[in-house]
Amino acid sequence: MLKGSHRSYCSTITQLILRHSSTEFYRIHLPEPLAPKKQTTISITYSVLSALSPVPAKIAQSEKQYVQYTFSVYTPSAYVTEKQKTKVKFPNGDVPDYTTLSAELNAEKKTDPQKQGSTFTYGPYNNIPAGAEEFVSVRYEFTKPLTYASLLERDLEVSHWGGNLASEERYWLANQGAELKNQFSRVEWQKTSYMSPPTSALKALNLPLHPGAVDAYFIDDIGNVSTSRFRPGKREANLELKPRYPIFGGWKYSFRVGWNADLDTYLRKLTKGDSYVLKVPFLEGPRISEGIQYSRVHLRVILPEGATNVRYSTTVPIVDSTTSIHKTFMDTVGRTTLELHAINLVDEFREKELFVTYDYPWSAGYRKPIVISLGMFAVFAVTWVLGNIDTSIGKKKTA
Amino acid sequence: MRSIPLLSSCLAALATLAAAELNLSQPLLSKQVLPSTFKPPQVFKNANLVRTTNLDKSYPRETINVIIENIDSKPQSEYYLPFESSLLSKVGGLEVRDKKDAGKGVFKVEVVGLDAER
Repeated sequence: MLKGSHRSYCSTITQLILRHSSTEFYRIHLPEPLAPKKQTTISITYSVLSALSPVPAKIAQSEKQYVQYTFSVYTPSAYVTEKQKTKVKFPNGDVPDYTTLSAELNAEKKTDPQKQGSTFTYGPYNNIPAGAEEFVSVRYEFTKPLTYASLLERDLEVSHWGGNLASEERYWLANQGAELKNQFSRVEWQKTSYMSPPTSALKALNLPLHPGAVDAYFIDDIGNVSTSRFRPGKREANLELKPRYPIFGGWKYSFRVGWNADLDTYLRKLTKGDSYVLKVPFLEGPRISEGIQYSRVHLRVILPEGATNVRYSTTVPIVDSTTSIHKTFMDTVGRTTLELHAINLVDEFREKELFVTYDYPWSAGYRKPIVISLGMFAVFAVTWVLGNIDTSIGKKKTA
Repeated sequence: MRSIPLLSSCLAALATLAAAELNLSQPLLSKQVLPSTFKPPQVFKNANLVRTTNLDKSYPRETINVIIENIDSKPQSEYYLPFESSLLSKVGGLEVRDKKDAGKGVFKVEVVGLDAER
């Protein structure tokens, strides 16, 4: 009985693994069909998130951090590859461990990898069939935080009456780096902080905002965080944040930042009709040299009440988009809201733009003042009517 | 005199009050599902492939420059790039361009999954 259940348990596991290890595809559409016997060169770029794992997994506070990356030296392909090689560029020359492959695999009978400074080369390999894989691991020094945002919520609120674009970003950050071996020592941290040595902890974040940003704030669950600096400038406004504590490996920090900006620099009215075009950056997050990974990004563009015919275009790959209604104070029908969801973004997407076009008839802008004045008027009218009711006791004086 | 356009706009606003409708844009489906027996048609071969893995940042950045050749008898325009499902969920920002002609812009890409139930 026990054996049987054990076996079925095993088979479910294998099934799970089998199902889990299924292959999925990216289908690439060439802009024009490739004629038979013709060749073309394409360049495919992508990032792999959460791919680095710290080895050792626990280090001392001011120790160097090493991370490991595992990949296949045969580039995954659905087709036969006649000739290929893989170059690995490390941030520095400190690569203590790497997988060596025998010279028999290599087309030039060299032992892989071939080292050249901080670049390793695996290959060339000849005539690799489709789907072939040969996994290797490399371990290298990377004493920088592995900053990972499990969720970023970004709200952009357009106000035509106020001429204002209000941005707010809510981050749920984590450091995927090596955890601390011992307790955190504030003394050691203070001692070394003046020399600012490389560290695996996230100390500060720098948000370069568009020029013209004002009223910046930085809040976390406790309240305002005073260790921030806002430097408005002509070329860019810099918002420098220091979290309440250095974020070591395995630690988390969630916070929100926000600012206002003049709407004129982002919004254009089309010459024909009541259409508007809003051009905003898709991401405006921190810029740090080692980069940030975003697992999920929820972007909300809150348009004024009565905006219709909302369309958008962006080069950022969008997973889902919805148009809904966002209701807030003193709203009559609620604000039209465009919600965009993206996954697996990196900070390189900072430069990408989002274009939103919508129709906003001039009459829609007057809806709120009219409703409010009608409401006030109704209050006065009711007061007048109620005031006219005779509630006195006794006979009316008819003199 | 100035109050006339204001008044007319007020009236128009009142008229639209009742008739405020929304155009809902269609939600994008992120993934196409194909039967599990699907295999990409063997119409291409990779003549030469150079992959560069950049580990400067806290996420590996892969660049694959590949010369592809059509070995079929008909013109072909769909090139498949396989990923293991567990890896595909971690891949982000995949962009494909023409190496020789950057002016063509980013190619259209989409994720196709295989139906695990069938």
